[in-house]
Amino acid sequence: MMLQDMMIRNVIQIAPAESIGTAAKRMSEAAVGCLVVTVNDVVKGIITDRDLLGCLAQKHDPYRCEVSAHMRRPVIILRPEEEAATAAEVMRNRRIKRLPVAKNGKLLGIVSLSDLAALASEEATKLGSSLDFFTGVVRAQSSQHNLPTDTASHKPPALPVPDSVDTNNRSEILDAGAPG
Amino acid sequence: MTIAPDEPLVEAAKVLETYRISSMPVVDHGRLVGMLTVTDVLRVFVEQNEEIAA
Repeated sequence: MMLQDMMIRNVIQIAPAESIGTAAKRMSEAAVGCLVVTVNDVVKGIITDRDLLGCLAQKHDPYRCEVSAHMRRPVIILRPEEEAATAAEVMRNRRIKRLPVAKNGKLLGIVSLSDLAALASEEATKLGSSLDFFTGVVRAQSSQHNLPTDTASHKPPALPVPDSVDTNNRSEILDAGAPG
Repeated sequence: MTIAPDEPLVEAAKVLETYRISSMPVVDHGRLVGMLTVTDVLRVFVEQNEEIAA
């Protein structure tokens, strides 16, 4: 699945010149742990709840500290046509949990590790039912090829069937056995 | 890592940040009395500032 089909489009953003206090309030109100720092939708950085904690722990005045001083940059960004599997690999290699999705620098959405986990779980369920179907068909087929010996002995002799039979040939075989 | 319930919030912020953990048990004289998360610390910070502004 492409990122554009699964990303969150309503990204909570903040400007680099806004304060850490404002960032904390925005995160709290939106119930998110991360804000994408943008200027006119162009990604400038990313700031997480942990980065805000750093400001508080250092006893800085959060209303005097700017987001730009605590945000992380450069930001790893993926294009909307990238696959979800690519996002998972980037998150694993870089040990990050969120990836902004942007085209020509403009922010379009964000994907998180928990979004990927939910998608993986759905895919696993689908794969499970496909596997059940596959196993069912293979079992049905194999049960018909391995009939018990006594049943097999009552079977009429099988007609020789060529390896590749097209529709016309098959109808000829059926006609051959027809009365008249 | 644990923290006592009577520690100031800034101490909790320091511990969570220093050890790069997202939550920790709150322990009072060896007895577990709660859990504290990064989200809790930020929420309380926002609430306190709103009270000051009000």
